Amino acid sequence: MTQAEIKLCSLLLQEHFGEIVEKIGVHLIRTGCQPLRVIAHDTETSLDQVKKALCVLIQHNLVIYQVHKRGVVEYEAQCSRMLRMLRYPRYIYTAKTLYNDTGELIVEELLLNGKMTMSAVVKKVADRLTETMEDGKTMDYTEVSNTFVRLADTHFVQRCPIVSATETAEPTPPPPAPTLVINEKDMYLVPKLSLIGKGKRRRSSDEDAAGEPKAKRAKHIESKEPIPDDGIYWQANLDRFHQHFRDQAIVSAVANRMDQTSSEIVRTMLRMSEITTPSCAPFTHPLSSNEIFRSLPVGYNVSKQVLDQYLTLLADDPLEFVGKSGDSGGGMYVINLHKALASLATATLESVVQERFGSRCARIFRLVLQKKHLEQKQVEDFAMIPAKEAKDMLYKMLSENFISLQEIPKTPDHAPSRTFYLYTVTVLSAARMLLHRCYKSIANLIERRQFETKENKRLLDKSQRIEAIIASMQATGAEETQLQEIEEMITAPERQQLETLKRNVNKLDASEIQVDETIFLLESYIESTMKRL
Amino acid sequence: MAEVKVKVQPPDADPVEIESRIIELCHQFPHGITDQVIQNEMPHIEAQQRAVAINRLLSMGQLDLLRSNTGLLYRIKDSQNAGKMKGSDNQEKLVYQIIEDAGNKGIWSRDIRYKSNLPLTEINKILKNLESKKLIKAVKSVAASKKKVYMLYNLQPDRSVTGGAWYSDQDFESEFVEVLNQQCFKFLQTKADTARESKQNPMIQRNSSFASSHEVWKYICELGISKVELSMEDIETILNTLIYDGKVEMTIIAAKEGTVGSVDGHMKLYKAVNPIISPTGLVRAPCGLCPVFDDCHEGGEISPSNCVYMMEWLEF
Repeated sequence: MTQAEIKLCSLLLQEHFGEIVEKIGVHLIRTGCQPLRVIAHDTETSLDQVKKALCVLIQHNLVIYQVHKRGVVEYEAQCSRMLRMLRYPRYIYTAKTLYNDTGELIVEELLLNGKMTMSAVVKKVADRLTETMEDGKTMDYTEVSNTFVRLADTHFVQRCPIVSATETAEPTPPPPAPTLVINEKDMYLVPKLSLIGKGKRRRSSDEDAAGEPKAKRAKHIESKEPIPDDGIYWQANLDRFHQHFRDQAIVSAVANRMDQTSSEIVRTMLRMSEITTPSCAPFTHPLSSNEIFRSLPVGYNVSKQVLDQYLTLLADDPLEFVGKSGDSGGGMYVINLHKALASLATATLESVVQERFGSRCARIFRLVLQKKHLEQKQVEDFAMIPAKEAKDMLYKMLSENFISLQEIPKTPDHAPSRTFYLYTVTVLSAARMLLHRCYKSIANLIERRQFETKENKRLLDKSQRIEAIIASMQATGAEETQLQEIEEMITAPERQQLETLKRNVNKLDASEIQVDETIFLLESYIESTMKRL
Repeated sequence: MAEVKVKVQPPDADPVEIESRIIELCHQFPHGITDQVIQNEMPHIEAQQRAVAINRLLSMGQLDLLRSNTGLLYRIKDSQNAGKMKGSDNQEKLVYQIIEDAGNKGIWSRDIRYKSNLPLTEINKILKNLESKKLIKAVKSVAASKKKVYMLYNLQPDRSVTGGAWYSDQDFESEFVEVLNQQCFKFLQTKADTARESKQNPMIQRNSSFASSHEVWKYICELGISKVELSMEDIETILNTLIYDGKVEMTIIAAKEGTVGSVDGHMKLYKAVNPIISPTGLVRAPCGLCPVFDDCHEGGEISPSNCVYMMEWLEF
């Protein structure tokens, strides 16, 4: 793990879980697999605290454990999984667009709690939704469960591996750490629960029958409903979300390059291959044109002929996102996922070069990309840029490692005057370099955000106190003038400062998410390329 | 009476006649004739007379003696040139020959030295001589501005030396190229927009958004922004730069020989396109464009907490 990644992980862990978890987590990332006692010894924290920290990390799938020989259990940190914490807002937003508020809250609860049983999720989400609804209305459990089932059917949530229930003849001592297994078929199987109930408001004491003390009532309800799905835990399936993001990126690329209808056709094709194609395959399964025609969204009145024309156009386009793999069933078409990711990664690189160095540099960059290897003279000729400027730009890009040199000696002694120097772009290494830069950028943004918050800590504390005072006074029914007085304790410039602070923090937050989009494209491309190697 | 054996002696061939016959033969075969050919033509002439005739022609400068893998070749020399070299000695003739062979690319003085094995001072004297006689000229090469290449006086320098249409007096005309670039792009863009708005079926839309290089060439010629006449290859180099800008894409289709603008049975078509992604997330943050990115770390002179770029960016 590079320094930048470790720094970013430590910032994320600190923000989400606190100092102790951060210390343990970073120590595990730096040192690899470690048993419990070694961790406690090296980080000089008490065994108790280390255990608690590890519990938190394991619950959130950030640390895994393995039993090694001689019965030692070792813990290993998953750095890449920690970096996914950046992407939580995007996952939640996707769930919201697909499944409305219910879906959004389900995914949020699952992400924030790591693993949960279905009944717990349903109950909590129903409660939260009821809060936001108008007085008198409550959220029914069935609706929430339906959304949950739909999420499971489309593989957005999956079951966590469970302890295998093997019966042994003689009682052997239990292994030091349980091995978790999960059957492929069971991963998305929703248990048959009949969750009946409605969401409860926090301050819904008026609704209940009067006279029963709250604690007694709560215990009574709990004992009435034994949790039927105890032991079946669910987690959010991040790979599926990533697949969805990738599909979104491909569809928007097609929409930019061609028109809306073509992008809809590509979206239909991707939707049809969602469940059938594994996420890391280079091509989707072949789809026949008849199938695509049947699966087009209703209301899209595109005749079969026009659809065929669009498909031919897509297959012939220089983008090469769609390929024709056969002629049966009216033409079999596949989506070339690897090529699509490569094009998107290349476009990202080009965009970075353009913004950093200018459009003429971008021209040279694209030129070398297309022609693979070029001499200096040829670069000047093809790009139609004067020799001096072209040289300057090439050297600048070379120093920033976007372009590399390939030496081809004419003589065995590699004399510089008798060697060919060819400029070339290796997309994989440039992508890695840019990815590293992205990690460092996000770390910088997070630090700046924390700095801004710390700077104005005093002001924030003051405003929080005043808000608490106002809230309590409103609850006890204070007069208007008193409230006004308290509010005026915050002066106008201070209010201004608070406004600016809020705006800055939002801006930094939004920027983190934007950089994360770049990270996603680059990481998907690198992963897809490494699988093919 | 003893018969006097009369040796039928062939009529004494007139040396001039032999020479004129040889010259006629040379005209017939401008690539050169071998001794064998002359022998076949005039079998009655003895080898010695042939040799005398050929030597005379050579010294008069009317024949060229060349060596080929089959033997010696005699070739008629250009009569114009034969007149020019009068008064020059052999060395000059040699240098002139070398320069002539270089054609319209010209040859550098060092290369002349290698080929003729003459010392540098001699070469320079001869070159000055030839230049004053207006037989050769020096042309500055656009590739290396200090280098001068020599070529025959009446030849047009090749494009690789002067740079062609994009160079005027050794200077690369960047603004001219930029203007042409923008004009071509605008033409292709309007074509693509009209095609998109016509809302016909997608095949027709796509085909009508393409423009062949010939169409673009005609448009640019009619625009009249260029003082120099531009060929279709020139326009294609400009369109290639648009491809490298990511604004245009090209396809090649097979076209019938007769259709306008087709070269060797295929045509190049160009179409304006949009980029496939909007500027990526990294460049929207100040760190993506920061020039001192590598020096920045927490607690240092340059750190995220006191970053000037971030401060300006936040104030936007």
